[in-house]
Amino acid sequence: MTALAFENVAVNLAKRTIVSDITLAFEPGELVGVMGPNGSGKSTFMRAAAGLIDAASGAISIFGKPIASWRRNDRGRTVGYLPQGGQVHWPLTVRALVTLGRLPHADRFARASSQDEAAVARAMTACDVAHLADRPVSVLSGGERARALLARALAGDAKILLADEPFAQLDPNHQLHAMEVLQSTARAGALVVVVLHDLSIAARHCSRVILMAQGRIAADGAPAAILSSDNLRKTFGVDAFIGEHGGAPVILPLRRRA
Amino acid sequence: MNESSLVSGSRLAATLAIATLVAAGVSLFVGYAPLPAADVVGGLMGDEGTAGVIMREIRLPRMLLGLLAGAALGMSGAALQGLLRNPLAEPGVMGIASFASLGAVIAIYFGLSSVFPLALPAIAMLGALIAAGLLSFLSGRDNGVLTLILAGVALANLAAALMALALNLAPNPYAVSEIVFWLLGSLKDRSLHDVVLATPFVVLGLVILASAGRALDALTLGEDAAKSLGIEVASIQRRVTFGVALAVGASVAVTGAIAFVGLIVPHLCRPFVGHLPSRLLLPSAVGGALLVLVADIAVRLVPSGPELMLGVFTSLIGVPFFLWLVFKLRGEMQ
Repeated sequence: MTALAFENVAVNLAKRTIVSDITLAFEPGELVGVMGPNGSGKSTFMRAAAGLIDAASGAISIFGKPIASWRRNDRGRTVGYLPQGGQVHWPLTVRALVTLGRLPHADRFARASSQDEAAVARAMTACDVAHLADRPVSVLSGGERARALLARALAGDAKILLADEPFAQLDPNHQLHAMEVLQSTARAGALVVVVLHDLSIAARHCSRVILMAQGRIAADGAPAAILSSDNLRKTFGVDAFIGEHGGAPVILPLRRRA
Repeated sequence: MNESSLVSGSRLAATLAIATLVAAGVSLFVGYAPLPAADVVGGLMGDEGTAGVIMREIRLPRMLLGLLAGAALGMSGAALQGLLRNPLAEPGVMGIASFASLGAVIAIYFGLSSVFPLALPAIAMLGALIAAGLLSFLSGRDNGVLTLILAGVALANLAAALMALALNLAPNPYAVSEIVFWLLGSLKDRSLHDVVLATPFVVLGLVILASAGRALDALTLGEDAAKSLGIEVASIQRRVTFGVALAVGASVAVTGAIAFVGLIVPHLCRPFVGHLPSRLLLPSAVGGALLVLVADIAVRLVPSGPELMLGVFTSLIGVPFFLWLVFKLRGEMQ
């Protein structure tokens, strides 16, 4: 069954149309990279998919049910969302932070069950922050914090995971690691939609890439077909080297076009 | 959650509760009339005579109001800080208590409270509600320290100006001094009648605030992430605003504004509960009650001629604390 569907969706922010004409369907098990220049509407698209902003027109549905008719808590359990540049307002420990991802599963009194604890431990191990579990978030480096926040989003065991630029502050090793985590989440049957800027990582790991430009879908399909030199020139205004290493693509932006 | 902070969190609540009980007991033994212990107990148990009058009409209401006002201010501070994600939020500093005072002054000034006793807490709560509503509206999505403090300063000044106007128009000097003294905040000369008037609203407010814990935890991650976790942010804003208005409004209506309790107590408790907003609510209520009781014992013991007003005393401790906190936060933000 289609996990997430957009039908002719437009979204306005402060009376300005930010994204429009979005028609897409996502299946469970896909790992979708959403790419595009700054201001092309990626985050707005993600927020709409998470049910945080209403569509001005068109319909968004999750597992066949209109997004607005989901009960808030059920939606929280089904759709995990990791906002861009995640904030943590109090110096919680990493474990307490990751446990917040279990909130939609918790009972009225927010007591953590053994199931919650297991999910939290799994997520911390997957994101390589288990050794930081008792450290306050305030003393972590930017990258460690980003991994802890990714673990928070994973801990919910959602069937749909929407991650808005989770790699921005990660070193190359942890970028690859985080991408592998998302990949195995998708392999386990979840739909994973991730906003990212690294062309090679998208080409090598995603099962599908969506290019956005000026609030619309510019291209949608298999990474090799979508991340073509023609598309990169049109969408990003860059000439890119597109090569191959060990049978997988390598893409490097070389120069800006005037 | 973090086990070590959980353990120390419940130990903290238990320790504070015991200390509060002790302080409440001590509070009954402290007063201007020297009463032997037997008379204190006897007076409470319903003895006739002077001891009975002193205990049941002076010391018991004073102690109960201390508990009530302290719990209201402590938990309100913790909840507001969680909602606004800002450790400087506090009913007094943010002008909420000033608006409650303004409401109470209006009720007293126009004589509404003498015709209809419930008008006093009702109008004070309305004042607190207006201020808390304006505050969450003004600080809105941007929860920067600056916006919040400026909004709070604006509200507190507006309330002060309107109260000055009321004083200005007051019919006689006696009314002026009555209002001024009342504004300073005190547990002195209150009756069981005041306790009965305030208790239901304070308790209701505290229950509402206590129910917001989970949502306040989620707000740690910002509004978008909280919404994605199934929390309705607008409704939690309304709930906290309303809870604070009930608790602070009702307690200010009978005690006047006791400043800084809601600032100091949550801040001191926070490290013991792993900084988790939900776990901060109860210890802050108990700690607030303890602080007010201890401060109220202190003002009775300090030989200052006329009794030091409780609100003045807490401000004297609170202002340096507030400045220290601002200084510390400024360091952290750089």
